[in-house]
Amino acid sequence: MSRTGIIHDRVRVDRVRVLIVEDSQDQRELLRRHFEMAGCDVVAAESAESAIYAYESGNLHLDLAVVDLLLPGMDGWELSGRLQLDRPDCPVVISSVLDQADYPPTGAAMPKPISRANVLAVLSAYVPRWIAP
Amino acid sequence: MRLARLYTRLGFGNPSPLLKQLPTAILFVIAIVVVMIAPGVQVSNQLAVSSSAIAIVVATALAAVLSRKESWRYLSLIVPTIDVLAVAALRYGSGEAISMFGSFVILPLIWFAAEAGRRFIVFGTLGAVVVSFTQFLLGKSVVVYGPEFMRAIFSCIVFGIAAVVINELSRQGRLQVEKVKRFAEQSRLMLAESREHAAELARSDAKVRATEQLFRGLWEAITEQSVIGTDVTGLIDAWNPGAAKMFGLTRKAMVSKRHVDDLHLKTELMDRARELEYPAGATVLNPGFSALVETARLGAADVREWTYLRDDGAHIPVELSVTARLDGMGETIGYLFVAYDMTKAREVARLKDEFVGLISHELRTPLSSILGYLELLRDDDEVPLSDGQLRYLDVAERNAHRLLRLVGDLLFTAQVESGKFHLDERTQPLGPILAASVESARPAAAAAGISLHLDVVDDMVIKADAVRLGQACDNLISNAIKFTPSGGAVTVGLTGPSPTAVITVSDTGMGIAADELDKLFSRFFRATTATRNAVPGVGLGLVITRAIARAHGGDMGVTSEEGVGTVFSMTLPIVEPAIA
Repeated sequence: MSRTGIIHDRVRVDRVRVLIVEDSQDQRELLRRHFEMAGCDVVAAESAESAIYAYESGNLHLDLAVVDLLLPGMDGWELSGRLQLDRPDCPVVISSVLDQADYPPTGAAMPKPISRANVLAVLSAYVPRWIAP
Repeated sequence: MRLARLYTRLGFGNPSPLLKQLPTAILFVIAIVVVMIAPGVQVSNQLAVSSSAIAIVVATALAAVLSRKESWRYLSLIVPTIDVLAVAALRYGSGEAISMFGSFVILPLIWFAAEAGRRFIVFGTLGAVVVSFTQFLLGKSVVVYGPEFMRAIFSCIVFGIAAVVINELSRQGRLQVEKVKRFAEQSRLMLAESREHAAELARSDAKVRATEQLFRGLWEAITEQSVIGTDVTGLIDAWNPGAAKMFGLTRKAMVSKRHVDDLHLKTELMDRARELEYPAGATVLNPGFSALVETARLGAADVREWTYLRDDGAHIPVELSVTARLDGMGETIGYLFVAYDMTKAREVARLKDEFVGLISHELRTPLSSILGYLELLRDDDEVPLSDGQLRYLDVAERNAHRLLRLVGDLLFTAQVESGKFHLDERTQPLGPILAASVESARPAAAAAGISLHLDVVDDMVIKADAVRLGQACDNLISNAIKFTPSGGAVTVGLTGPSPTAVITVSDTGMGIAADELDKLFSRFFRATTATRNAVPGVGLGLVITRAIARAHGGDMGVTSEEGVGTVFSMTLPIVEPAIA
């Protein structure tokens, strides 16, 4: 892990890449674990700014983004809008403790607390090229 | 003036007998003196003259005595009687027919004739007769038609007529006096009445002033609510200190100058006008104001929230009650607007909602981590767990879920309180929602040994949020299961569609006491049957269930009998009746 808190995985084009933006370390690691168990490459960031930096600077292709709403700095609402502009082909899944009624309209929601089943459901629904390991 | 006073002083208004006697007495004195010193006067009978003198003295003395007491005055006619006799004696004793004192009789005659009553004419004339006919009465021979006799008769006739005239004159005089007295009395009475009226007026006036001051004092004391009175067109005619404070405008600037609908947001007035469905272009001169007072105009008090607009552009949220002002005959003559500033209340409510929201979300965050990692622990393929460990994990997970549900309920009730919770309504059949709730409750029912039935008579289409409605049904069913002992039954029924859909959840459980039925839907309320039987729960379920029912345009009801069972019913408006 680098000092700026951005985590890079080695790029392997055939694996599904998931961007996780979550400021709570516990939740971030939980999500990483679930997605890795499902066979995905995980890019995890603890803030919107570091997430943008990560995918922009590495010109990363993203298959899925999981975004928390309450973030330091730029919030999840703004980030999801930005992602829809920067990576229009990447589905944005909102995962938050807030009520679903307050979620931005990205069309995909995975409210907390999340379970393994939720993660697998999201992958099969929004990432057609994902194959369960 | 002085003469009048003298007149009254001397008693001429109501002459005493002495006063009346005085002229006679004085004249007699003069007569006696004349008799004694005048050479041409013959004294034919000394005794007569002397006795007349004595008689006059007696009469005068009597008059003096009688004058002292009003109550003796009825005897006063004795005096002129004596006078008459004295005059008769004097005349007789001073030459009779040639006596110069015959005309004396006029004085007692006047006394008699002036008395009230026609009979006194007779007495007076009788006196004149006595005086004129003394010699004949005393025995002298009568020469009828003789000169003396004729003279006597004629004198009496003259005196008689004089008596009549005097009597009449004095009667007229008395009548006049009576009239004047009556008039004076009337005037006195009227004056007294006027005085009394004036005093009463003064009293009424004081009362009115006191009342006016009381109400003015009350009015001026209302400084925290704005009270505005208007006429039927909305022109302001009353502006209290509270309104002055709220708007920063004085009474002078407002009364008879501005209209009350000026103070409202135009958009709000138009919204209300739309709500009341005024037809476009209708003869409503001022739709804004009419919308504002519509309910009040129809006779009902109207209490709702509005926004006042100050001249400086500031908005003040108020709770406004509008009532019609009626005159003595019940006609509407204006309106009264009492506004209570809600800014603080709104702020407090907003802070409370924010706080509850914050807390609930803060609680959810660690719970998410707890549940997430418990799951990882359970499903870790690398380190399989023993049965015992799995059981412990199960307990931990179950309780974490329970905590999560509780947080959700708490958050939901706070949203219900503030009136803000979202419904994702879709038109859909009701049957499947109920079926889903029943199916998800089957495991719990089976574990508790309770039979669970679904009885749908006819399905119907409603507009509902399936998740929330499902939550409400889950709640009712789980309550029924919780409160029914093993071996009992829970039945979920659906009837309708007219006039509404009715969902019933009936159980054969412990029931609820009759006096607790109306408190059942209040926050944190737990029935005594629940606490007595140690049924778990916090008391939020029914609050949430009812809030959901009401948000869908329906309501809740309950009937129960302790020891027999309970039936909860939820009515919901339908979109379409039964689908086949």
